[in-house]
Amino acid sequence: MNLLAIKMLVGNRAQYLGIVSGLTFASLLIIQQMGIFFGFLSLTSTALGRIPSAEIWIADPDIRFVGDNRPMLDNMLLRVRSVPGVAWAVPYYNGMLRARLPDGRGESCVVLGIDDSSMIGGPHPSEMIEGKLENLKRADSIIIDQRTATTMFRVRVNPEDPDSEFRPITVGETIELNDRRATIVGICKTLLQLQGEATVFTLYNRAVQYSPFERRRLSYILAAPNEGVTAESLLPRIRQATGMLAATPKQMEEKTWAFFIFEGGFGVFFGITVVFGVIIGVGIAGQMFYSFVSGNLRYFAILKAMGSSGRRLVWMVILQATLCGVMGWALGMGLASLFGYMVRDSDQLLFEIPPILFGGSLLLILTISWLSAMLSMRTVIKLDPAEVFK
Amino acid sequence: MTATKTQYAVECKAVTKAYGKGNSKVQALRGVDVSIGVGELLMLVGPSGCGKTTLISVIAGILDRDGGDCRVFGHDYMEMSGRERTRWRGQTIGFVFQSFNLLPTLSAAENVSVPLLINGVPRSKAISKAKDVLARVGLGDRSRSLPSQLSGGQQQRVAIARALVHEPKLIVCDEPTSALDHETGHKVMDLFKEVAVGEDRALVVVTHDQRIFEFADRIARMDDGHIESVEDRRTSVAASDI
Repeated sequence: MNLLAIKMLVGNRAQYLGIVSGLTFASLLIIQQMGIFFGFLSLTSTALGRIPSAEIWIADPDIRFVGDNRPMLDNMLLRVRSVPGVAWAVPYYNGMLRARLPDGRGESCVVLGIDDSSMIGGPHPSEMIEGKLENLKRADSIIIDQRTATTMFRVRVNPEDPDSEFRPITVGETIELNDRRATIVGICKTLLQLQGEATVFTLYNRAVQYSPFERRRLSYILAAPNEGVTAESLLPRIRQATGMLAATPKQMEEKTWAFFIFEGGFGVFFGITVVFGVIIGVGIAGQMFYSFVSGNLRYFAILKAMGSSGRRLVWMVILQATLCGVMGWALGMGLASLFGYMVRDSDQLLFEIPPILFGGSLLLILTISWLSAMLSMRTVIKLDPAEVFK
Repeated sequence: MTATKTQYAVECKAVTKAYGKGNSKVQALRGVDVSIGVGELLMLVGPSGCGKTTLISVIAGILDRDGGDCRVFGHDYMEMSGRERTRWRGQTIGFVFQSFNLLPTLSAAENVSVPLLINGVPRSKAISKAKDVLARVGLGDRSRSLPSQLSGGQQQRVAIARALVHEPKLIVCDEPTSALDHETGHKVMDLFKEVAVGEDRALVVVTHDQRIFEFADRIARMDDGHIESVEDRRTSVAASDI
């Protein structure tokens, strides 16, 4: 009977394709938007994943997300280092500055100041396209990422001509950061960040010199526990010693995501899109499925007259809806994955399909299919087998 | 559910059935008395709206009567639960419809196998038996054809095979020849006589088609919700032979 149900559905190609198309569209809309959403969430916390050795992040307790700049006093670093169980702790600067390019144009940039000696927080050596990380030890040196070099920091070929073409800035050229000289000594792979600003790496002590004078300049402290000590067990001790927020990268990520989802309005924005996807899915697939079941009521009545129980007919409808749902989801997932493949090299958009989206979207599309089936289920349950003679 | 051994396949006494309520109430059956013997082909004839279809719906157990008594092979549907009645109907009744009502997306063999599948027979076994029955009705070479690839007569033969495949004791036919031309209608009725009527099986055929009356054992004429007369063709034919 299961095969019979499937043949009843698939044999009616126009309606079958109509139902599957509706579910594919809903699936594509939901997965594509949620893929962008998850990519966006990843962008909000790229720094956490970029520095895997930092098992503990320490910041101002009022910080709402990674990149929310609420600097601490420099002596906080010494307090953290004095906490028993801390193996090492290094400063990390994250601030916005104005850069003046060789052709005279100005551009905003994110300056990341990494520890002067350990260089923890800098790009991985394998990510260096030109130059070396160690080059940062030279005077006034900075490293920029590729997108910054080719896009934000690109310079006019002829600085005197405002209509002149642009060229990428190269290693060896000098810019000004807050009226201080900064020479490019290396270019690393593009660093995806939530804000589209240029990214500049330099040493911590140089970064604070570039920035306007403030008493509080230390954005974050990156730390790691001694061997045999877990990061989680250290957190309360650091909090007690410093009064600051101490969190694992995972906790920082959750805090960042919670901010963007609930306070940043992105949860509502993407949530509305998902709701639209569900409404469109139920609307199109529901109407088509109702039409399919209505068109086949005569045959359902025949099956009922011949001895099929109402429960079996309901099962057949659920099976048909499930098949449509799985097909629609698979096609939607395929199209969304194609979209992800097409934007894989984009330095502005990150598209991700984590396992929760994979499973969650399947469940959602199946729910849409079952909701669609429920719209027509009543007619099957209430079906009078005597209809066969009418 | 009680059953008594009987020579009658169907025994209906004073069966009543009405549709609607109040002013819109229509009395479809007004105390019908009819019986169908085992091994008999009874034709129900009469003008449109006289209650023929309602009566076979009651006999087939797909419509509840309002009053009277109706037993099919000694069983009263009103004494069965809904589930028991559905199961019993699936095992005991075969249906042939006016417009064939074959599932358009299934092949002939798959259509014929449906009653077996409903009764829980495994698919491979059901298809195999369906092909055997299709061969009996002369369509052994068309088992893979879709209904749309068959002529009207062939479709009705598939429908007959479907009504026979699970070896039901009672076959209920609603206007089985009305969509067919004279010659094909005769062939279908010949087939009925040949493969469907048997010592342990009864047939009730609702029809307007006077051209097939000759195939009936008895003809019950209905009008306005009751049986007006019953003509026994076996005795009248025998008398005319003398």
